[in-house]
Amino acid sequence: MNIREQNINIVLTANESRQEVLSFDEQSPAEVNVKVALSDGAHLDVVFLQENVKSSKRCVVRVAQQSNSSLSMSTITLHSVDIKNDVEVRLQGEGAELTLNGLYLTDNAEVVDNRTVVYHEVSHCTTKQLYKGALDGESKASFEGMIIVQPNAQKTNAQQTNRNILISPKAKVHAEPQLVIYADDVKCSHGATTGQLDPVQLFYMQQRGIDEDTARKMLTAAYAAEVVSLIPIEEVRERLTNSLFD
Amino acid sequence: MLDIKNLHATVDGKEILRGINLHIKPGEVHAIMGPNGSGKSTLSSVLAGNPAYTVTDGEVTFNGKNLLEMAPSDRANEGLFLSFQYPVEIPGVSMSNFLKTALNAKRKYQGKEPLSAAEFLKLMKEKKSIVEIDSKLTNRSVNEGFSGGEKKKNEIFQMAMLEPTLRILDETDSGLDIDALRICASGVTKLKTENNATIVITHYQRLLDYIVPDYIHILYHGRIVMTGTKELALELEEKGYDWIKEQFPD
Repeated sequence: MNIREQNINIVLTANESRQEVLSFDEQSPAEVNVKVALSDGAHLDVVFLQENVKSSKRCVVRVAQQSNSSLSMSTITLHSVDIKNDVEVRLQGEGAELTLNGLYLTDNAEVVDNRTVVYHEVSHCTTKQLYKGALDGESKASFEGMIIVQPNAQKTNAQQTNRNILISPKAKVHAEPQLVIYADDVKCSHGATTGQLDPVQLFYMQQRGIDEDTARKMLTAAYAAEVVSLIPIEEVRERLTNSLFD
Repeated sequence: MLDIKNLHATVDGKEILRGINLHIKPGEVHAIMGPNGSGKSTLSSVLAGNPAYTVTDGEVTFNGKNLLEMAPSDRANEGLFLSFQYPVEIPGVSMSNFLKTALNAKRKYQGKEPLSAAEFLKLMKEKKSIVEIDSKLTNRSVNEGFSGGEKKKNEIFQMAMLEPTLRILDETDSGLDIDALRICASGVTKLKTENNATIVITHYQRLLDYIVPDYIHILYHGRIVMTGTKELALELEEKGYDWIKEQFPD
């Protein structure tokens, strides 16, 4: 669905299951507010698509998850000029599961900011977060990701990973992963890396006759494909995979 | 086909090749032997255009063209193939996508139309049999999770697909068990024609039982210090490299 409304509410009743694909285009409002409420045992797969959007967009997402609900949210930003994503998730019922993934591929003077905050408010909740970016040209991206584990959120399991590749030396990335833990019986990890495409892989591909530019594109696609492969909605996953390797 | 004159090259500012001269004609097999650190792998890397190495002097002509001015991909498409000592894993890039891209790049370089999907699959099937490569491997990412032997067989498989005119085997025998060695070596031999030439870089005589060289060159301290026929390899096997080192203290 192409977004036309400024306010979007996604409310799932107990044990309801749904998939949503929300796409930004030029006609989408400059700021979109999305509220997601998942009742006990509800399951939502949602993908935000921001492909070749030529004007500034801001996407504010606020989520509340109740017991044993699960959410898979993917935010895919491909070559859009100016995007801000601001996601807050509150895990309010025990056993809630969150998969929070993001991909940003940028070039030229594009700017992409991702801010995510996950509140573990009760015990036995899980967060798995993977955000990856590949930046070319003079583009800029930032990732600010915070996971807050509140005092009574024992047995929290939270993993946060942010990886970035600077394809061009003029691209810039700011990565700020943060874990704030007030409980003592938790499993939490986080990490951020920034690197370049592997020169050894690039040389190997060129030695087989693939020109440098194509080799870079193929390696970038392979790198990005990891996030795409985690999208549970098959139709979106396949279309994006094909377009990455096109 | 290949003419190397007074080739000097450095890596990280250190001179590794110190005046290589080598002339190779179509149909010939040249073995390059020598102790560790003598510059064997540097020579293959420099010929293939690895950007980690800097050529400081000399000339290399390949099919009448100045090889050193060509991009690595153009060298490959002109017919130079390097079988890597350590084949590189590329997670996320499938073998078939990789090979199809490579093959069609070469066809484009030669002014030919790209292969259709059906033609490509047919060619893959035909070439797989040459190196007895498992079909499952070609469905995976390039070299990802392959065993040492599978990686080397995959190099020879790619060679079969791309049909290069100059084949450089950089220590293809390292890390191989005897069966994998036989398969790789017989693949190279089956693919030999009167129009392609082969450079075999190795420490050991063993590989040369399968790929019989016309010439053997001994590389030491960045220079070819001795050239002979296949009997030279047997002599080396018997005496080791010490007598070379004694003869050319440097």
